[in-house]
Amino acid sequence: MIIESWTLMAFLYLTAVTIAWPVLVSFWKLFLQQDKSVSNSFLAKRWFK
Amino acid sequence: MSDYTWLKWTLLLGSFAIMISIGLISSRVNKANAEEGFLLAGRSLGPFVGAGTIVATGYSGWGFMGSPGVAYEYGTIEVLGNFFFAPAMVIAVLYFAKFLRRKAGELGSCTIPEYIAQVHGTSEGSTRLVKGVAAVISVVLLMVFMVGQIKAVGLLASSWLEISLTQGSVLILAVIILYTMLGGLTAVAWTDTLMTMGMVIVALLMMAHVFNDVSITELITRLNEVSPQLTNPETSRPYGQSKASVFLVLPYAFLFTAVVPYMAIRFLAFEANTKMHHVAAFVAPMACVLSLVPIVGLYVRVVHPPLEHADQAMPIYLAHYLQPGLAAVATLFIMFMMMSTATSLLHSVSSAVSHDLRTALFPHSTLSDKGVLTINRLGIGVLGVAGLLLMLFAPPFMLSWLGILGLGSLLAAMIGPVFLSTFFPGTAAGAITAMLTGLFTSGYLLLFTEIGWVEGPLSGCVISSVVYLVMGKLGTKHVEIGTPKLA
Repeated sequence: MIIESWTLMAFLYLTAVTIAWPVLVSFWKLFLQQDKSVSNSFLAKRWFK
Repeated sequence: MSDYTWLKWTLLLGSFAIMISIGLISSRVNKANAEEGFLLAGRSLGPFVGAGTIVATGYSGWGFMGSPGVAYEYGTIEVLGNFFFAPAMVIAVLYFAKFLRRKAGELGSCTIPEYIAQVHGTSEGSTRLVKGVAAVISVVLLMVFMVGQIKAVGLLASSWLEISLTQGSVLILAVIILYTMLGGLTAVAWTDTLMTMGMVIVALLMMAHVFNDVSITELITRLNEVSPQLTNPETSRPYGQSKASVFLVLPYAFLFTAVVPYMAIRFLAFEANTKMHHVAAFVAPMACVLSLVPIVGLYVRVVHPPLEHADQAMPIYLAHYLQPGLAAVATLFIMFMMMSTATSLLHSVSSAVSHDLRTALFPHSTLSDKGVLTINRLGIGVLGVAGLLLMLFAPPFMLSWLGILGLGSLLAAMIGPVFLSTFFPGTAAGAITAMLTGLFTSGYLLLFTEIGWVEGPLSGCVISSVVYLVMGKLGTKHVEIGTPKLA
């Protein structure tokens, strides 16, 4: 354990999961479901094209 | 008057001018569809503003004033407990909001009590009865919470500006009433988003200051020196006696986001083609940054001499550790976050009276659009003043206790008719019985037993859900989505 506190470790792990989760869902919809709303979005236009 | 007092008044009055301008602009935007515009922002919210208003409303004064105090007293468990509101909002947005928005859109619901009535009512009489009961429960319980919020923001304003509690509360409430009356939910959502952005920046500045002064490992070491229970607690106090009790905050916070009328109404206000994963992608970072604020309580615990009251952790931090100009801006945005919750509560309470109770009592009234809008606006003014009077003359209960009593009981009352009904529609009798069962069970557990803040409402939710589902199974299925019901 890098940080000697189980509560803070849980907090850090869950923060990472919480932020990554919607991003992963967006990737899922973009690449596997061909969601045009993602590929046309502001970020997608700059990051993926 | 000191330089900083001038700075505070300038910041405050400048911000109020911006909020009232937003109210004026949004009143013009809403003109096309008067009542839906006022109650639901014309179902026009996009991902960014939608996320901003969800986060601002979900993070009340508790997160910025109460939670650092709990972290000061109980340690890192509060950082984890308070954080669960972030994933709960993300889950509610990703996996529930779409269903509620679609169903409410098909039914044409403008408020949560109206949605409950339209889903469960089979005749005009039963629809009116369900709507009336849901509206009365919403008004009573949200009013309790609103009084607590007005008092909290009034206290902060009075100590910050060195004026009396009454003057502080009247000043804040007057601005809230003005911009909400002008712009309805559109004004509330736009101002919420501005407030969230400001608070996110302030939270990041606070963390930069804290961790510039003490590293994370040093903070933990020094907390351990005070007590190992502050970093590695054997229980989840104040959330419960077992280590796992803190994780119950996640279902509690999820239900809070999905079910409580002043939160759930935001899902109804999204534009039809808004993608919920876009909303969640904004909600997650905003909420995670705001979840860092209780760390201030840990910092004060290790750098400041012992406090007489743990609740003083944030005020002490602002007064003694932040640069005064930055502290003034931080206090302003903390006050705004509290205002955003009070505004949303006022908007929901007012729409329950001016729209739901009105249409339940007088279903065949032939008011013009302008007349309906005037009634909705008057409702904001009258109920805002009523909240202020209640705050000034009601007994001085603990603010957080009032909030938990009001919200927890509302959660238990609404879980069946709002959340379960989206997937398993029940009956009108089931909805009314479940609302009353949840209300009285949670209220009894919180008022007359030693059960925890989270366990009481969750127990009420379980019992209310069972009642709703059993009565739904016993009754006849009747809901035809898209069938026009009572407006």
